[in-house]
Amino acid sequence: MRPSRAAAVHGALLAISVVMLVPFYWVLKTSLTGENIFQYPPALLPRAIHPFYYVDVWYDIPFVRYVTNSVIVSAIVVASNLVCNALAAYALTLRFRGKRAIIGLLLSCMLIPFQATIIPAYLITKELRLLNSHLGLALPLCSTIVCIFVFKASFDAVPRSLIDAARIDGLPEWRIIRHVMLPLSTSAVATTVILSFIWSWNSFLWPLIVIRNPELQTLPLGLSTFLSYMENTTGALYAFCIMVLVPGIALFLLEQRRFIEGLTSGATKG
Amino acid sequence: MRRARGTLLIWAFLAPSLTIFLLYRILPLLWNAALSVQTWSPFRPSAFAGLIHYEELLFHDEVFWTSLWNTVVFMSSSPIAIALALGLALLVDTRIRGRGVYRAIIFLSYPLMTVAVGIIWRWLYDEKVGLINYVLLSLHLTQRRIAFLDSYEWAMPSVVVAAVWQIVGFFMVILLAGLQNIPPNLQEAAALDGASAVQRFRHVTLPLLRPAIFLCLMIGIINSFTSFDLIYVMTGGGPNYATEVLITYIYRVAFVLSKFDYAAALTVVLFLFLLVLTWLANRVAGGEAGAVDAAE
Amino acid sequence: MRYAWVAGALVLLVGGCNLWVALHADGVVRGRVVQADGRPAAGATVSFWEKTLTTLERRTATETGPDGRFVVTGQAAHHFALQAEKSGLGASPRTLYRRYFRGQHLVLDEPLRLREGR
Repeated sequence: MRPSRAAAVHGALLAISVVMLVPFYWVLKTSLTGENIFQYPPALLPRAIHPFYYVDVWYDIPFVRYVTNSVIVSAIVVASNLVCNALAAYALTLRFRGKRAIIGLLLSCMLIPFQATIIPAYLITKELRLLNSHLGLALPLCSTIVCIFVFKASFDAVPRSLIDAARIDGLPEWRIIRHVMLPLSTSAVATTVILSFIWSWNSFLWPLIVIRNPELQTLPLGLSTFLSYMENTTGALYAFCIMVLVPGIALFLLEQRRFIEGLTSGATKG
Repeated sequence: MRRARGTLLIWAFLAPSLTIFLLYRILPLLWNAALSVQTWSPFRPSAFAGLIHYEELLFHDEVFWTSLWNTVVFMSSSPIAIALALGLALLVDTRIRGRGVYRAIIFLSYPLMTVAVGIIWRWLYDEKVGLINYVLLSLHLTQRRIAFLDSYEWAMPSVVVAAVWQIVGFFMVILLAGLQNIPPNLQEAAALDGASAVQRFRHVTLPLLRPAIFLCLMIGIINSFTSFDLIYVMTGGGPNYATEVLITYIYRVAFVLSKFDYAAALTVVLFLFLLVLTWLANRVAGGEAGAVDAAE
Repeated sequence: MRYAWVAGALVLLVGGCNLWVALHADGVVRGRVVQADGRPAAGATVSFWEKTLTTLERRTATETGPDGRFVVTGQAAHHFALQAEKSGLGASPRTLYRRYFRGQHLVLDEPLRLREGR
């Protein structure tokens, strides 16, 4: 490629990258300096850096409690997704009566967004006496149709000879899943883990509806509660934002390829 | 295959997932429909009430029509986002060094917590100390500072900009995958035939990208009906419902005003709208917008 | 694996920080009070105010010794204010201070300067 053209492309992409990164830089700068919360004009470069807003967040906000709740709920969701979806997908690779009906049912369920079910879901959770509980928070997310199809595509690709050999050896079905199918489907497992983790970690509407007890608030809920109390009168809000975003960004940078593949395969198969 | 035991096992494997979907997708759908034709109250038993809720929302509820309009506005930002993402995908698809870095930077915003993103943008738009006002004033594009999130004209576009910022990376990655699936010999053959870059783009690339583009369009449509977090955090429904979309209105009616029956009617309308729009989009795309093969 | 390194580094970091904090968290603040002309102010009352995100409350007070130095003990607040006053010599402005962790042993650099007419 001609150098001048490469330079133009780099220039355009650099400009776009700046636009995409400016919000992060701005929040980081304010969380470290406290400038621009009340004063104008804003300083473009940080002048006096101090970590004291993070100290504020650590002691004045029950950050550890929020993280613990989020982690517990996400752990339940990820584990349940792995088990339920793998089992269901394996069942869908076998031949049985009513298979087409079940697949059709699952496909049509994909058309129902979660937001269209919030009122009855709340009433159902109330009937099950799971309001204000980790399980109640996790239950609607415990199985997703997209992940079932991701697993199914992966399982379908396993050569039949392996499965038949395992059956001849007398392995029960669940062992076949564990020892034959899953080891050959690491990308499907990674996709399921990533998708279900992101959905449960970022989930805001459902905790907002189901949680009334401040002991059980998850991170997004804690963040929005803090916002409604303090508005933007303190840099601690932005330090809180950074502390919330850093794990997400770190995880993304560690597993970039899998993240991108997982999220797009989640979209393209749904 | 041992049929009897096999079938029992198969249904046992399907049971956990099917229970969740039954409980939290199918049952709620039917319950919504049933609720919407009743009068519900936590203190009195429910009674059948016919279509009074639908009548109310269609003829007597201005906020419903406002929120529907806002949802449509939100939805019509998708083509803009897709166009931007297409441009970005074309840029990143060239053989320059460091494309992985650019791709990561642009995609970064998508998997992050929308509540935090909303807080950041809320502050960028701030009237007194926000960066956007500062940039606009410095570039002399405006004389006075604009209260973006507090004004009728600017609230919805501001929220839309934040939403586009968050999703453009996701669209770009989908379009990038679509671009990389185009066989290069087609482009070369067109170039040999004397087609210019623009003509090649219009007649070779764009038609082959149609599935990816329509996938992005569907995601954009679904997003506009389900995007609750960003609006709740940024404006809470806006100055006098200027940014109220259907889903935030449903939340408000159901969980702030506790009118579950009316909210159920609103939800039924939301769902029907979504169905009709996705069906339309699918038809326009020729039915090839990323559907899963339902056959064995 | 990357995760092992990241997790290991995190555990070390957190463990190290906790150790440091445990060793240095005695809740003591040391400082001194001077008069307007720089001479140490003996017998001045120094009051300690604890600042949270929404409130500022007076917690305790102590007296300076003959050399103008004072010690505040038993207060762990990470964001606090100090004000010194002595009848006849005036009072210092209420200044905010920060600690890196609760109970950090803090020795103030600048003295609290008494000013007349406050």
